[in-house]
Amino acid sequence: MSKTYVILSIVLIGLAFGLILLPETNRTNEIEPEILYKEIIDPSRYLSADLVAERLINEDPSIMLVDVRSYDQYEAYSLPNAVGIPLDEILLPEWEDYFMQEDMDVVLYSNGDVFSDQAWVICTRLGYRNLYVLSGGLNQWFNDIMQPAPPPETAPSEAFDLYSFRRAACFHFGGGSIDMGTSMSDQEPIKLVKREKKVISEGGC
Amino acid sequence: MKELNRTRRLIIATILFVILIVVGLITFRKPAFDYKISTQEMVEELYNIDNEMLPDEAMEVLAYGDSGYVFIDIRNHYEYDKGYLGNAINIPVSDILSPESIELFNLLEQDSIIVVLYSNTQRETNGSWMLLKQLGINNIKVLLGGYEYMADEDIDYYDMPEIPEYFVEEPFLDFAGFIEEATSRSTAGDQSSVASQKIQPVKRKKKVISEGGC
Repeated sequence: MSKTYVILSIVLIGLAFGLILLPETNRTNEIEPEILYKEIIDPSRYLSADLVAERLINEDPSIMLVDVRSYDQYEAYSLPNAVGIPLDEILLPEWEDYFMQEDMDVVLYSNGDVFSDQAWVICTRLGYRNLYVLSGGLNQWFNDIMQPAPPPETAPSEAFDLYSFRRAACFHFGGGSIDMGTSMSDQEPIKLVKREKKVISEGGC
Repeated sequence: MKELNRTRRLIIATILFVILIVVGLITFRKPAFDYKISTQEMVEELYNIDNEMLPDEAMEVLAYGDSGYVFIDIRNHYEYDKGYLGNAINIPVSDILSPESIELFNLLEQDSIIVVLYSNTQRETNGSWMLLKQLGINNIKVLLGGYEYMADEDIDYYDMPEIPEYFVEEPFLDFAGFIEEATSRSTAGDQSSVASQKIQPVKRKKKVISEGGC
């Protein structure tokens, strides 16, 4: 009888030790590689400069910009209200609160869009949601918003709407009258609409 | 008799218990892929320039037919059919984790052949490269500039700009300086725009009221 009990307890102890050998489970919020893969091939994370500019101008409270360039570059110039989190320090626990929330859309940006995309992959793997990448980065931003090129005269009216939006945005973000001056003079000849004198028939007899 | 029954019951219970655990272990959901490196290691990899291949290096490899490298084109079939680099193999990004592709990557790694991953741009390649790197495929590089740059015939290789176009993370102008200049100009510009407004007074034309004759 007591032999059976001894065997049983040995079996149970053996199984208990077996638990130690179980593979270490992921205790963090890291998402599985296959889900990460699905996120990576989905291009909807890229936001155009125009879209981001519009939300900034409208003072959208649900957008947060994160500058992943070095501190030096961040200090020299950054987009309004951006938080500076260099790519090599992105895993520091002090930044966790910026990423760990549900209500804000976090837009990552760098000079181009490779560093910001890399930061995006790292943060997405860590399970953070609502992350976006500024498509083209600051280079595209300065190309589109701060130095907008006027569309050709034959362009559809949407292109002109976009151009006037960009000029307004340029003014808003401090690019001021660089383009305003030249573009105004460009447009002057267009504005000149000669109104023809109405010849009012002088009443004869 | 009673004693025997009790032993049997215990044995049955033990067997059931063991079966339960065995079934649990067998059905334990094992993800098909595991991260082989941590996020911290991945961040360090991002700063390792060995993971990058410059377009001119690629040109050399392609020109000499270096057998130590294999180019893998991760664009879709249509784009691949239009043109690709050297003897590039096409694995569309949608198939990159298929068993065949993983097998190919492992085979290439065994033969210590370096995989050069490319797509239209570096950004497009970046996600796939980072994923494969994190899954433990080490012999893999990203082609900077991507196919768009390599296939661009307008590039004059004897007259390259100081910072080539494929370094997408280099600022193409001094942002801070640009803004400073813009603000200083806008203060001066305000006056000039006022002046320019003065030039164009809108003359309202007098309406000629028809004078009635007779």
